Amino acid sequence: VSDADPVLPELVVGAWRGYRVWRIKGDRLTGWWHTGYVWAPGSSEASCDARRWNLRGRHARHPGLPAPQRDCACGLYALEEPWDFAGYLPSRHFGVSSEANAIIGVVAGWGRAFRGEFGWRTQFARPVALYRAAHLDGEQVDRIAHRYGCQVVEGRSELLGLADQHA
Amino acid sequence: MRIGEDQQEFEILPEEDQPVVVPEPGPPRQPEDTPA
Repeated sequence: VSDADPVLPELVVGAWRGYRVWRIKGDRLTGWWHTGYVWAPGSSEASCDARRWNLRGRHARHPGLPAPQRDCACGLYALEEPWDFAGYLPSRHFGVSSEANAIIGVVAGWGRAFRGEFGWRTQFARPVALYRAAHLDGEQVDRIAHRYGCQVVEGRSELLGLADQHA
Repeated sequence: MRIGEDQQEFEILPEEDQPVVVPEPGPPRQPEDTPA
C-alpha cells in the first residue's frame, strides 16, 4: 500500500497481540463496558450498536458495514503495554472500577483494525491467555480457559512472553 | 479502554490466511525416478 492512496488500510500479516480485561460471568467472558457482549469460544467478531439521530429518527451509526469503523468506538479492544503487578489493577489505564469480577489476559486480534497510541481495536479476536490473579477462583479460571481454548498463566514473565509472540 | 485519538487503519491477515504459493512443476519424471 503506498502513501499516495490513503483510503486503503495498510495490509499486515499475522494477528496482533495485546492486553485486555474481561468481566467474568459464570464460566464466560464478557466485555468490560459492554457486559451484554459475551465472548465466543474460539474467535469473537465485533459488532456495533452505536446509534445516531437524524430528522427521521435513530439509526445505526454505520449500517451494513463491519466493525470497527473510523469515527466510532466499536471493535474488540486491547492495550499495547503491560502493567505492574502490584496486587491491583491499573484503573486509570484499563478503566477498571472494581476487581471483583475482572480478569486480565492476552488477546489476539485480526481482520479490520484501528491502531492508536496505546492500543488497538479489531474485527476479530480471541483470548490467548488468562491471568490467574490471587483474588480469583482458580478453578473457575481453569474452566473458563478450557471453554475458550486458551492458557492460564500465573506469572508476569509468562504473560509478557505470550504477548510478545505472534498469534 | 482508551487506545488514543489518532488511529491508523489496518487490515490484518492471520498467518493461516496467507496466500499459498504453489511451486512451479518440475520436469516430467523419468521412469527410474518413480518408486517401485
